[in-house]
This record gives sequence, C-alpha cells and structure tokens, in this order.
Amino acid sequence: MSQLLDDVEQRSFPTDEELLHRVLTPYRAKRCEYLTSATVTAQGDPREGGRLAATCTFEIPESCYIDDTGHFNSVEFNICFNQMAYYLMAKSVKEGLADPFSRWTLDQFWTRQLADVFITDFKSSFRRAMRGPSFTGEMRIVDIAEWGASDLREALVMLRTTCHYADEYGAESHGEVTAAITNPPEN
Amino acid sequence: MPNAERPGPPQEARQVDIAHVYDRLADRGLQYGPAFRGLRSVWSHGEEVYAEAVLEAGTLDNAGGYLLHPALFDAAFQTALVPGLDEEGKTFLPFALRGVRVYKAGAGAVHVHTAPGDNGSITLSLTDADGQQVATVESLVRRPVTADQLEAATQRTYLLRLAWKALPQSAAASERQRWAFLGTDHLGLTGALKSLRPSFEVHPSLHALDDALCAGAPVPEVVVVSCTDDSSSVYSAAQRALMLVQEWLADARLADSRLVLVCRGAAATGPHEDQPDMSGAAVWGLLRSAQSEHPGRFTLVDIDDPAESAHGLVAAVDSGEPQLAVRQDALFRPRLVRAPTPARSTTLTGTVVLTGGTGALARAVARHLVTRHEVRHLVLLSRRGPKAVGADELTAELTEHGARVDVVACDTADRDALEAALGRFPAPSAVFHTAGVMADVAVDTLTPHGLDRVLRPKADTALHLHSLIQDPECAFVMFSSVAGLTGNPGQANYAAANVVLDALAHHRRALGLRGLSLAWGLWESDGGMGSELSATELSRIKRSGLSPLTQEQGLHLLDAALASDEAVLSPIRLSEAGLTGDMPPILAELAPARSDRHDPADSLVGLLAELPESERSAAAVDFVRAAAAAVLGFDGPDDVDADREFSAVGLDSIGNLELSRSLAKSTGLQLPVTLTFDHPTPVDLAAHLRRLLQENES
Repeated sequence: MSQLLDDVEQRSFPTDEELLHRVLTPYRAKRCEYLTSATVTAQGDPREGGRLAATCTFEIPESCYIDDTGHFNSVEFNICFNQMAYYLMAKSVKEGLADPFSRWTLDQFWTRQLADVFITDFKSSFRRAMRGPSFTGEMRIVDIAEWGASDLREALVMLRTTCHYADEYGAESHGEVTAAITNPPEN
Repeated sequence: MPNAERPGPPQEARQVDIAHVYDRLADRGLQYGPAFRGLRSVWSHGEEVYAEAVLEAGTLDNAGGYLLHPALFDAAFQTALVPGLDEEGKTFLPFALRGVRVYKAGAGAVHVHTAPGDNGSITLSLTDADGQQVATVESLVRRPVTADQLEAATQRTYLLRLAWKALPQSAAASERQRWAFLGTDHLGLTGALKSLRPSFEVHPSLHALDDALCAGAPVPEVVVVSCTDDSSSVYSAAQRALMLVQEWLADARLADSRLVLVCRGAAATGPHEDQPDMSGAAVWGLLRSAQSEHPGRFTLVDIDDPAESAHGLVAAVDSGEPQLAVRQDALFRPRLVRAPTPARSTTLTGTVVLTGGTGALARAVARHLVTRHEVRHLVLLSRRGPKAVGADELTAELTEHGARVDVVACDTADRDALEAALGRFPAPSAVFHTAGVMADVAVDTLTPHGLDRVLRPKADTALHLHSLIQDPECAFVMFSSVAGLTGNPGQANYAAANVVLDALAHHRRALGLRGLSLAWGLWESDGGMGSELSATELSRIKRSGLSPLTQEQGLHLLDAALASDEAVLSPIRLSEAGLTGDMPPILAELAPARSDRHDPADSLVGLLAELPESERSAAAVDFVRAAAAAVLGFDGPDDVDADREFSAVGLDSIGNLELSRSLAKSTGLQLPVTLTFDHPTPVDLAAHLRRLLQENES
C-alpha cells in the first residue's frame, strides 16, 4: 500500500491554535489542557491504507486527579489520547480530510464531541516510564468503518487508531485504541 | 506351454515409424511418459501388427518383481492401437481383457504379435527373444474415445450446477428450546413461530436484546432475523448482515446461540423459480463465508410463503443444516452436481461488450471471441481504458485478427457513466461482465468500506448492466465465482458480490431476458485476480477440492457453458487429490465414491411388472437414464438425454463399468462390461435390457 501512497500528495497542517483552543474547552475548568501543539498529516484514504495522523506535543505541569506519581500513568495516557483524537477529528472535519468527517460541519462535531464519542477498546503498554512534564505523542487513524443505520442498530462510526508517546530521555509508551462515534450526522 | 513362436514379422510387413506412433497418440491426447514408451520397432501387416518392446533401464531393475511388468504389458496394448492410428477422429483404448495368461515371469523385452480375433476383438501374443511364450491375451476389446473425453478424464474439468436436494425432515427438537426474533419482521414470521415455540421472545433491535440479557433474561438458543431490512439495497443489506455477524461473534454471551437469517426469493431452487431478492442473495453469499469461518453459528433459510413456512423453518433449524430452502414446508439443501455437456455449440457474432475489459481474464475472453467465435467488434470497458497496461498491444493483436476494438475508460459502477459509454456503440449482441476486485479479510474485521469496494465493481455494475440491457436477444454473461457458492473463508465480501450475479442471472431469465452467471473456479493467470493469491491461499483452495483452470480449459468450459440453457453454472477443475479435504458441504455430492451413489432400490423387473405394456418402454428408458445420471453425478434423469450417446454426456470407462454393475444389480441379469458401447444410448440400452428380461422370462 505504501507504494501506492507514493503517488498521493501528502498534506500537512500546522497547529490550528483557534481549533485547539476550542477542542480543549471541556478540559479547561479541570485544568488539564495537556495538548500544546498538533501537526496533522493526511495522505490518501485511511480506509485504503492511507495516512491520517497527528504529531503532538504535551505538557503536564501537574496531574489533574492525583498527587504527583512521578511518572506518566495510564490515566494521563488516556486523557492525552482523547485530546489528540478530538483534535484530529475536528481538523479532519474542518479541512475535509477523510470520510465521513469531510461531510460533517464543525458545529455537528462540537455537539457530539463529548456525548457521542466512546472508547470501546483500549490497550496501552509502557516500556520505559516518562518522568518529565513535556513529551511528544503521535496518533494515527488506521481504519474508519462507517456503519449505516438499520432496524437492528443505530448508525455508528468506528475508528481504529494507534498512538505512541516518547520523551527526550528515551522513555516510551504506545497503545491501540478503538473508538465509536454514535449518532453521526446523516449528511 | 504352447509351442514357441518364431519372433519377428513376415518379410512383406511394412515398418512403422515409432516416433510417428507416439506423435499420433499424443495428438489424440494420449501422452506417454518415458517409462511407457517401450516400443522399439513396429511392423504392420494387414490387420496384424508385429512389434518389439523393451523396458527402460530404470524400469528394468524392477521387472523381476512382476510376473509381467505393467509398462511392458502396456507397450503390447499400444501395439494393438496401431491399426487405425492414421484414421482421423478416432482413438481407440484397450477396454476389456479376457483370457490373459502369463507363461514366463520377469521379462524385460518381448516380441508382440497382434491379430484380429472374434467379434472385433484382438488377440495378443508376447514372446521372448528365443521365441518362448511370455504371455497371451485371448481377447482384447478396444473402444473409441473422443479427444474431449480424454481431456475431461485427465483434466478433471467440469461444468457444475446448483441442485436443491430434498432433505428428509427429522424428529423435532425439544419444544423447550428458547427462540427469539430480532429486528423488524417484515416477512411476517413471528405470529406463526410464536404458536409453535412456547418460549419465544421478540427483540426489536440489538439494543433491546442486550437490555433483556442484562436484565437477566436467558440467552435464546435460536435467534431468527430477517435477511434484509425491508426494501434495502444490496449494499445496505450486506452491511446489516455483516454488522450482525460481527456482533454475534464478538458477544461471548451469544456463543451458544444460533443466528438464523431468513430470506424470501434469495434462492432459486429450480430453473423456473425467480430469484428477485438481490439484497438477500448478497446476504447469502456473505453468510456462506461466515459459516465457513465459524461453523455452527449461522443458518440461512430461504422461504416461499411466510404464512406457511413456520413449520418448515423450525424443521430447518432442527436439521442442523447450514443452508436450506423451504418450499411448501419441505426442506431442500444446495448441492453442486455435474451438469450435462450441451449437445450444441454457440457462435457469438456482432458487437460484444466486456467490463473489466483490460483485465487478464477479459483479454483471454476477447481473444477467444475474435479467434474462435465470429465477433468483429469489441467494446472493452475498464477504469483506465486505453491507459491500462497492455491495452495498446491487445488492441493491435485483436485488430490484426480483423476485429474493431474500442477501449473505453469507464467506471462501470457509475450508472450514468456506463449508460453514456454503451450509448456510443451499436446495441451489443452479448455482454461479458468480468470486472471485479478482491480484498480478502476475515469476516470479523471486514468493514463496510471493504464490503463496498468489492460489491461496487461486481454487483453494482451487474445491476446497472441489467437495467441498461433489456434486449431479450442479447447474451448476458456474468463472471461470478465458485467462492460465492462454497463461501470461501476470508472472502465474505467477494462471495456476497458473486451471489448477487448468480441471482441476477435467474431473475433476468424469469423476466424473459438472457442471463448466465459463471461461478468460476480459480484461473491460472498472469495479472488476473488469481495471481494475487499467496501459496497458502492456493493451497487452501486446493484442499477444498479445487485446482486452478488453465486458460485453455477455462475457455473450453466457457464455450460449453454458452451453449447451455442454465442460469448459473460453475466451471471448475477438481484437484488431483479430489474432494477429500476441508470440503464445503455444497460440494458433498461430488465427493463420495461413485459406486456408492447409485443403489437402485427398485428392480427394473418389479417396476415394469406394475405398468401396462404401453408404458414399459418409456419407464425402462427413464430407469436407465436415472442410473446413468447417478453414476455421472448428475441431479436426475432429466440431465441424460434419451437419444444421446453415453460417451457424449461424459460417461467414461469407469462410469461404464459402474453403470453395467448397477444395471446388473437392478435387473438380475449378467451384463458384459461392454454394455454401453454395444448399446450406446439410453433408448438402445433400455430396449436391450427389456429384450434380455423377456428372454429370461420365457
């Protein structure tokens, strides 16, 4: 598939500060806006092996839910994943990077961001603990399954993703996450 | 021991060139390997033949272990084939031996002398260099075979068709079994099922089922669901079924629950039955693969009248069969059986449209249509059109053969684009829909997009072609795949697409149009769909009993299929190992030893005794046809024409023996092994049997 992608233009989008601000709004009151920058790259259709990814930086001055543990833990892994995922989806909607997001409006996304996006499967593994407050992360949407509505089940969008975190000291963790979006817009 | 015979031919005998003998035999499909090329010199003297035969050095080492080495004995038979070798159109093979005697063991070289015997037979005498007798054959009967028969016997290529076999209903399972209906009941099944199953729940959605299970309701052992949401498209129905399959496989609570998908009009159990439910057909294809991947979890049932089918549906589930049709409350299961070879041939002319027109398969077909048929105008539709690799070369080649070739870039799954492309050319006399892509993946990870990618070029294009080509004279040939019938694991999307094509062929014929879907086995090809298969996948296909067809075999079967009058045919090649491996149930009828298959319960004598004289002749013919059909693996007597020679419908020498044995058993007569050669058609043979029975009686 990578050979085919050689012929497909890769588009890159630097951090969209306004969008990032909007994406992180739900986290603001809880003082856990960890995502500080996100560069989105898109090449081809993720359903055909194409690439839709966000390369990000994070800053966690202090944990939002526990005293300092001294290391990046699985709850923070999950929160950082959510912030990357929300941003990547929002940017995909705004720039029309992949179906079904290209058919949605940003307003439709904002109304669904919290209520309709669920993690259905989550695997994380930690090879070396990250101890510093700053680190990088990358998330990639590996596949998108758009299920139509029927008498048996409401419409559903399933995202298969991978993610990866690292810091400058060689610490690393990674994961595979499946997310479901219920009540997707019908357009 | 008989007197020694002086070896060697008389002086006036004419020497025959050995290379010529083996070349002529090879021309007729008899390829002898090195160990079996034992003839060293041959002389012809009228109807007598003299020859010298030896065992090859490597073979000679083993000769001591035999009374008479098979390769040396075979060389003697080859001698008997020399007379008539130069006659056109006929090849003789040794058929029956009588009075074989071996006088001297372990011979490594022999002189052979053949001479005419009684009733067209031949006598053989084998002597050693000293003139000592090695062996004699009192009578060798030869019989003619055609090149086609040899081809079929050695290549194991067949046209199969789907026959729906009645299944005796077994005793009903316990009424305590918990049943449920899931989703919208647009077929109207729940009322009758409720009355038959005391424990019967209705869950309008998966969410509702989940709620019930979470609330502590027992897991239903059988969950019935309609194959399609009402009036849903092929894609929607297939996607709905895929979602359901994945939910079923992912939910551990449902591990012992059987999901029964019910359709109406998604299967045609006879040639005159319509199969209008294309969406249901897609579900059948998809589920066949799901069944292969996860045996015992899913059941497919096609019903006729919902109001009358409840008993049949319950019996279908109780039977444990994975796929069934219920017709007037009786159960039928699908089985591939051999289709008779058509007696006539068809020549295509005029303008022919091919979709997937620059693919490997279409190229082979295009060449064939120009060189073997009389097609003078080809319209080749493909996504890349003239930009496709090799399109220019193909055009040049076909043009050189005198054809006009138009290569057109067209996304045939786009109805408007297809209509515009077809509108540029004269109305076609035939269309070949060969377009298709494969994207294999296990059913539990197949996505809607993975489904659409495969359905679109194959099923959508077929449905657009159907709506655009309504000329009742236009041949409408679709290249489907046996994967749709066998439900290849990992090919749920491909199977779904192909069964739509099969259904469309039935539906077109029900509408008075032409329609033929060819559910091909794999083709050996360069750059075609089969070439993408890995060695493991090929090995898996071979284990399922099938081997790839060569291009020549495929085109030969194509011509046979074009001349047939069936909606769906499966041209395939059976693997050398035969159907002994992980075989899908739909191939089961092809597998058992043929001698086990026909054991006529009724004797012909008893049958005839019950009939008035005026009906006996026809009954005897039908009896013979039924016996022949059973030996041939055909569905029934209708597949064996009363006036066609047994050899023409594919009865080979083993088949002849089986038929003779079968008829001997059912008549109580002693019948010779040459029976069907002496009486080559069902009518002849039936008349002969009646004569023999009458003589016996008197």
